[in-house]
Amino acid sequence: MERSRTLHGKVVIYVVLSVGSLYIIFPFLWMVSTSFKLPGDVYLFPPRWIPSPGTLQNYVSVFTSFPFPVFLLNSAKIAVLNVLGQLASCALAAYPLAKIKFPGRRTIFVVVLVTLLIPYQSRLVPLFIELGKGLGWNDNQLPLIVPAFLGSSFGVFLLRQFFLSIPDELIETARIEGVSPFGTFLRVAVPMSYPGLAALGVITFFNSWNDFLTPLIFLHTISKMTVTVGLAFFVTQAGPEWGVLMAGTVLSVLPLAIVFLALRRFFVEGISFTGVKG
Amino acid sequence: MAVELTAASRPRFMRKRPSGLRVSDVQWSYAMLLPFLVGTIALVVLPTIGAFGLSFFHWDMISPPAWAGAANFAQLMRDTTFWASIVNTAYFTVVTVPLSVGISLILAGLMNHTLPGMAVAQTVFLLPSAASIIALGLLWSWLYVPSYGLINYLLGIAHLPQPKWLASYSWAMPAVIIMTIWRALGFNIVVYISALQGIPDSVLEAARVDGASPVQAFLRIVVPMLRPVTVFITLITSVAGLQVFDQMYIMTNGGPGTSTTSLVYYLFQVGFENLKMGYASVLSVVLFIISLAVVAVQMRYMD
Repeated sequence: MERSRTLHGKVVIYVVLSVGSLYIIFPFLWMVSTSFKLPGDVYLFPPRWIPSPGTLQNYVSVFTSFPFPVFLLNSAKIAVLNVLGQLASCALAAYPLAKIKFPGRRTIFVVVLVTLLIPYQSRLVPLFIELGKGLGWNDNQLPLIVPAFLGSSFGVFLLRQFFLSIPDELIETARIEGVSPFGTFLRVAVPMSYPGLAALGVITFFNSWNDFLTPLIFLHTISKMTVTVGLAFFVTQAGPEWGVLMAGTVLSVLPLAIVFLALRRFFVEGISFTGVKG
Repeated sequence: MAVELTAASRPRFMRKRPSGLRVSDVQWSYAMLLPFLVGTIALVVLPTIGAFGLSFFHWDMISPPAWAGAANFAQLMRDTTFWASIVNTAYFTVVTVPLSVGISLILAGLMNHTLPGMAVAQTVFLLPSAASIIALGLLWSWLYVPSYGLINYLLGIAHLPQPKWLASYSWAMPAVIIMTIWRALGFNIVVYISALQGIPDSVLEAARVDGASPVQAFLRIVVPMLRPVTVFITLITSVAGLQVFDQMYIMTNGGPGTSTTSLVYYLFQVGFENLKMGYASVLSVVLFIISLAVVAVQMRYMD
């Protein structure tokens, strides 16, 4: 961290950051403002910030036209399952890669790196055929949940970095006492890796919740949709009723904003770990 | 353990391999790796091979797959929308990457001071990345409405030209790019700040003592020290740029015309709206090759 010596420097910093922050916040404020406006007032020119009169009609429309609570529940359920699955499967896989010199270890690590490079969308068509047609999981939430329990290259890579930093002496001690690798993993490695696990957990949570392409392809019944797909579907049905659309957007963004602010520290740490250790 | 164990009397699972590794250790390792290995083979390796194979077929998911030979590849060469999608994706990536990396570097440099409010600024910039691209794309679509949207209203006040944004062939892509950068800044800033905190104060002190201004010290000393991080962020942003889809879906549907049809958007249309699985597989392969090339080129700079 730098200490700013001059008043001039401080002013520049605050001015630039304030303007930048406004630029970020402005759209959100406008979104909220629009969501409380009557249909006629939405198109008022010049635009007014504080709607008068305000109305909750838009929010009522959102709830009556679409099962928004169901969308929220689906997204939450899928996201939480994703987090549990990823943490379990990636930690399990990362531990031997980091701490046990078993034959084949190097090859598998190369596989991890290589698969990181393959773009997800390149596998999408065959994946859809494999899971949707082959396993019959079309119009089903399973393709959004099951893969999380089978690890991911990113998660394995990230947690391996964490496990590497655990002192070998602790591992050796457990080993000498006859503890199995799994036991050592559970009782030594995991308790020492909470920051890494939290980071992966938060990243997985937000990626899962905000995922669009995968649910778009696999979910066709409204009652199974997540918030992202539901919102997009809602747009095609509602037409350019901007007041209502903004109400829907507010409802989509609000839960995540709350979670983000509550878990802000882990969010930031998660990103830092990706960058510094990547 | 009180019992004296000789090499011969050790249970099999405790016997050691020449390297000192127990047999049971190896078994446990593979057992713990099993879910990941199964997942990688079933969900990554097989589909990738499948994409290559499927590109030699015509398949609409209803009738049985029909052999196409090189027909899909020939069609690719003649397909103007495909070439448009390549140009669009390149345009998007080439503009988004330097801008989002450069702007976030500057902002991170500004935020990296022990002044009150810096953490608040970081949180504010990070907020958009918590929300989905779909929700934010919808919000910006509203801001971009030509006649009474907030952006054109503000431009009008400043007596600046008011483009038709998402309705204009030439302004739709810039509109999407602006929104993308707006959302991406927070993430990049956090990575940069984290890296900046790893730079010892002594380095900056030495520069200060030598008479360098803060800006000079930043540009000549700090930025070069951040090179690995910059390469990393550039890599991530480029890869994300090649895969851009959500914004196009919610903001422009690839239009007007094909001016914002990205490669992945076209892949989606071909494979999941028109159900031409064979041709979509060809597009998948193209995406794969381009991604590999871009990553390979950039990794040269990592060392």
